[in-house]
Amino acid sequence: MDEFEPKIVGFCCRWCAASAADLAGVSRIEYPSNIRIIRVMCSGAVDPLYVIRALLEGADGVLIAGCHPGDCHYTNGNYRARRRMAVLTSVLKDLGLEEERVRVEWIGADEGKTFAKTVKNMRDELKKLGPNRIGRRWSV
Amino acid sequence: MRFEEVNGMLRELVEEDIVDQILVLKPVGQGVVHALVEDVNTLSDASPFAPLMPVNGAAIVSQITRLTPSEKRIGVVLRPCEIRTLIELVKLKQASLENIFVIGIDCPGTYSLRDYKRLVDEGVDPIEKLGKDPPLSTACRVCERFEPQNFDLALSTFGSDKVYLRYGSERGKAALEKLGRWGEGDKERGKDRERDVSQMRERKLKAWSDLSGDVSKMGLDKLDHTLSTCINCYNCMAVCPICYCQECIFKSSTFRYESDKYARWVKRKGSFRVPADTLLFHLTRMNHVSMSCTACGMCEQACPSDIPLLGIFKLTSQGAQKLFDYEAGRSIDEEIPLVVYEEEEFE
Repeated sequence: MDEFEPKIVGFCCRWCAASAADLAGVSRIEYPSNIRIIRVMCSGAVDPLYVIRALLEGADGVLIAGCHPGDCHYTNGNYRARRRMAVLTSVLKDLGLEEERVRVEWIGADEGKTFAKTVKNMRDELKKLGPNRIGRRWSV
Repeated sequence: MRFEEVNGMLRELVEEDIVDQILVLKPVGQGVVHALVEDVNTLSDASPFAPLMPVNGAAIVSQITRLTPSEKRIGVVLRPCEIRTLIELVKLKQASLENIFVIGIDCPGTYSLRDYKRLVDEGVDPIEKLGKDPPLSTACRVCERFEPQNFDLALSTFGSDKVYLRYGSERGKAALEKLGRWGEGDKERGKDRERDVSQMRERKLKAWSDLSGDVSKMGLDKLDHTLSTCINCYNCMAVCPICYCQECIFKSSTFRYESDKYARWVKRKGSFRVPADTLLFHLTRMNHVSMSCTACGMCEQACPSDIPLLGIFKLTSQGAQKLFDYEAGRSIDEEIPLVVYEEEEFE
């Protein structure tokens, strides 16, 4: 049987994490192809709806990557994202729904290496966790 | 009947020029509905203690005050959960407390609409009936906040066989002084309040601990099972006072898909449930209302499939509110956590 390769959906802020992903690319820093990047204007623009949608559509993990605290292009979008995602993981956890699949990270535009490391690390963790059952159900 | 004096109290609030109008439940046919009353002669059948919550009264106050604050001074008779909801709606800028005089009640709990109607059909007075059969609605059985908070005046019954008034604000205190005979009160009334309240609270907390134990960590399979009869009617959203968006994204064109999208979904999953997005809808709603959910139970009451939504929403919203030491409806001065932030937290 083929080894399980988790699918990761990454909501990356265009001011930082998405640039870090670009930087990793142009610097030829390899990162796993498990991640599908969706560029967003700000981590604060990520509604929990998007994350839940990704999980129900078959993503094994969701990464929300924004600017370091204090560095938000819009002053406080990342602080808002942090609270929203804390609520999301709390809701998932209370229902016993593998909140580990949702991760929030701060990655600066100049941190290509950090981006690559984050994706590798997340892939490894998700491999241990196994496939996301909820995204494979027909009845949800 | 122990409730007969209540209407006199409400009447005097108008006659003593404390308020111009009263918003209170009145019986109609098989149920009770909220009524805005100006002519005190039509107050005689008011039923503030009727054990039925057809809609959350906070949503009514929102309807009246959302566009412009009330010009009339309205005494709104609300259950504790309705007051909590109103406070959240004010913070969400969906209602105004200007000229609103909040009259709380010691809440006896409510029956579901269905049970209430059945009792009326059987010729039973639901107020007299209050007991174990039929059981109260889930929300009320597990409600530990049955005592009103943040009121001006409260129509109180706990620890007494007669109704008595309490004040909860300076405005309420001044009103009570004007209400001569009620204001003096009867020292005997409410003397066993603390005892009764603590017994009741213990019972309700036990019921919630049982229910929340069942709900917590239910996992995918049980959640799937619970939502299996959802027909995507969105009634729970329509009646939720906190779901105030004028246009819900789930009813917008975002959730109208081209046929190729369905084709892709079914190809990937083999079979595909339609209407789509059942779990997505409920999980998203849990997130969106989590900070302000007051566990009023309207969602569960409105569900045509009897899906036990209250436990799920109460559990997840309590968990979310605890993250910020927040409690929906506790105080008008506490900001809703999702509109503010700390620079250092959740590290």
